Amino acid sequence: MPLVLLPVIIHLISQKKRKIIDYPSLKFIRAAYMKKSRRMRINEILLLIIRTLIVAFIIFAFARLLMFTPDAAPAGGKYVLIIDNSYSTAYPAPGTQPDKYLDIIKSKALETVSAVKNDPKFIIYTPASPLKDSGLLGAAEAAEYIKKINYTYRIFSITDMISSAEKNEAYRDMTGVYIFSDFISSDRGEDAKLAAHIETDALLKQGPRFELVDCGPKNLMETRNNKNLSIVQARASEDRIIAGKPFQVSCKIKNHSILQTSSEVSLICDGVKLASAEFGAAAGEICDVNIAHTFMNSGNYSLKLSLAEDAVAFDNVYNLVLAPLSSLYVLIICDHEQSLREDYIYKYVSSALNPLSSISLKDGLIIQPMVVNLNNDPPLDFKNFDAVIISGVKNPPAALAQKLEKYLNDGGGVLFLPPEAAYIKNFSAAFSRLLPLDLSLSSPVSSPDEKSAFNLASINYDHPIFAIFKNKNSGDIERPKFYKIIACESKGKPDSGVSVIAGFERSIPALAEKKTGRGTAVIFSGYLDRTSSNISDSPLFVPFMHQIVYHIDKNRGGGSRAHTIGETIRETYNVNDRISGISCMLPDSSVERRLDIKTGPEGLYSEISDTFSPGFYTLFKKSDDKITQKKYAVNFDARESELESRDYEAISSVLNRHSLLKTAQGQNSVNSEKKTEVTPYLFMAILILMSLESLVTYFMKL
Amino acid sequence: MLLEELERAKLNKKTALSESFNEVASRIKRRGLIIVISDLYDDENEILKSLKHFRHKHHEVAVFHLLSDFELNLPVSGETQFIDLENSSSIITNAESLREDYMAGFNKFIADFKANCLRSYIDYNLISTSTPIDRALNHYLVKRARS
Repeated sequence: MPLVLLPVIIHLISQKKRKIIDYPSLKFIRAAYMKKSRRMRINEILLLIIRTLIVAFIIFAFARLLMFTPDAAPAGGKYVLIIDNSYSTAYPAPGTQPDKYLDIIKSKALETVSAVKNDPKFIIYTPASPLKDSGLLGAAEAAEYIKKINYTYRIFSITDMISSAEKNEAYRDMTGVYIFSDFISSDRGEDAKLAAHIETDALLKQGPRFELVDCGPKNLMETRNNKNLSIVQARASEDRIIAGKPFQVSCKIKNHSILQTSSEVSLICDGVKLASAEFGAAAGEICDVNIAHTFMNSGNYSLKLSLAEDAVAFDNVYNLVLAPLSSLYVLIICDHEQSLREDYIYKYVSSALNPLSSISLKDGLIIQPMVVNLNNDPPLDFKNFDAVIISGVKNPPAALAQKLEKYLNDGGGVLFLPPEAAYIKNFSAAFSRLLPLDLSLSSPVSSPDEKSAFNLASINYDHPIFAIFKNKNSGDIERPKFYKIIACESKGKPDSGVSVIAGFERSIPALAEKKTGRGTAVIFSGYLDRTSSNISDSPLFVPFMHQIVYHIDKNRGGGSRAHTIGETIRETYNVNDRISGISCMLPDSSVERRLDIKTGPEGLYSEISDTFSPGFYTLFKKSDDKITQKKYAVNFDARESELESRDYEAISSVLNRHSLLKTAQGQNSVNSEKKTEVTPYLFMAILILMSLESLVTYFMKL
Repeated sequence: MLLEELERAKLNKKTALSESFNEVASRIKRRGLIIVISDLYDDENEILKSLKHFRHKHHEVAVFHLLSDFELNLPVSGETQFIDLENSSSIITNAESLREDYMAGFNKFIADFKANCLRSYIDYNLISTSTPIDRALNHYLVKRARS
């Protein structure tokens, strides 16, 4: 813009040195001067204006300005209507009860549809996963579609909606884009997300401008106080939900308006009501409601409020993604004969950790049983596993023990299950530094009959492994019988980090743990196969094995925590993993997407940053000879129900900064606009101005 | 003797021709020839009135309108500052741009003055400063003697 001053500077510089002439009388000079001066002054000003315009137009031409000009709605003009029906729109608007914000949104959308003339077409977007549109609708069809829109438990993200609209091939030719929303906490950092999206998207800049129709509250605090009823908080009673185990969802209900017990909260999974709990609370109160359910399948769960008939009609949904064990990875190392593998691994250990047969678990714990030839295969790097089970390895090499010790020092967890009697000495010698119990002088003890079988006794029920069995309703862990055990002794002194958690009769240690570095090693001195114990047929077996795995894994830093939408999932690995490719599958998608392998301070890693939809994200790691998969659970963001903030100003500001905003708050204009690139017109104007400049200069010289 | 008197004439800052003429007219008692040599940069009506005063007293009057070529043609271009010798006022302008209007105004003045002179039986002679005044006078006197 300072270049616009250039003509002014030229004009001033061009004031050359003047001649000075003494003249007898200026009578006639003055007369001529007076006559000419007015015209000359006008010409000079005209010249200045023309030159300034020339420079300004040249600058504008190179800036490739776009011009928005009012345009009569063209026949068959196409409009995108983005409608927010997330459950923050279910709050009643102050002063307009019983209208909810969604009612206002729908009403303004209908006004827009009816106001547009000349046979318009509409494409309507509402939050869904995957995002869907209504298809091209006529005005009447669009009005019907809008009337049928109900609340959704999906998060409303303007960026996602815009991105979805853009994928429509006709987006560029759209006449207008309207966004109807309450702009309540649509997403964390939605404005930054939108700004980043605009920066990288040329199509968006070429498309139509946006009209934000703000249907939200002017006073957020007032609305918050006006909220009659909602689930304001919910959480599962356990950090890790166990397949087959009862769990509770505790939720807080705020400001119930009636004193009735006929209202209830339902736990719903995939549209099926699993359990419910009734509640009642007076206005202004907060009450807790607990819903009990036995977890069977992972999936997208939601809590739904259903009210008594005399209550204010209100649906409120609170979402949870529940995953058993949140995708713990457990490596089982064994060197059983191939013929025994099926029987041993899957029937007794794998099934305990991933009980596919009994409860049809869809997702969750990933078991990777490996039969390794320990003489030839190099020991694995265990750091990618949440826990390792050494199951009856007959002749463990020294390198395996060293690897395990490092893994334990780094916080890993190892469960030792002893081998057959003939290999106990080898086993004990190899893992002597790690084993909590000294097996070297022991030999298996078999009980001759059912009566003399061993049971678990002397159980420390305060220990995390057995805490869930403390309640008598949780089953009797002391009932399963063990026909073959190893009569071993506790290793070392009590202060050496070894503790016996449970024993068999005759003070024989059964389950003991030892701290090694940051990690925990646990040994179970009984045999688990069906001929040696009936525990594998007991309903307690699954939770018992789970508890051991949870316990030994807990020092690894909680890597199995479920994520919240928007958080980046990062998977690390090292060069020795020989990863040849990484891909991921997003929720509700059947298409694998390749991920880049990046290098960071902690080594190689891959990231999934667009975790905008809740559900399970499956990561596939391809190495030379195998493909492994890992699942991450991503939870909903509960902020939609919290009425934390409004982001209308921030969203407006982002769109305005990129000249993509059309009208001000709340206005419901239906005038369409034509976006034209003005550069050719500017160059034409420059040519005309240059001609004009020549003409003016010529006349001034005359 | 006439030419010697002209040589001795000094520049006067202020032009006040009509006053001078009236004074001269009151002093001269006998009929004679009044020769006025001037650039006539004064109120032209007053000058004409004074010249007619001479005629009224039965003098013959001859006006030598003395102008420079510069005044006649304004041969200057570009940004120019004109300084008035009589009152030191100045005008800064592009000389080219006002030449046309200047010439038109100036020629009209000459033509009007000449016409008025002729109507009052006053001889009008336009002479340039490039022409020696003695030659112009001589030429006039010879012409007058012939007629």
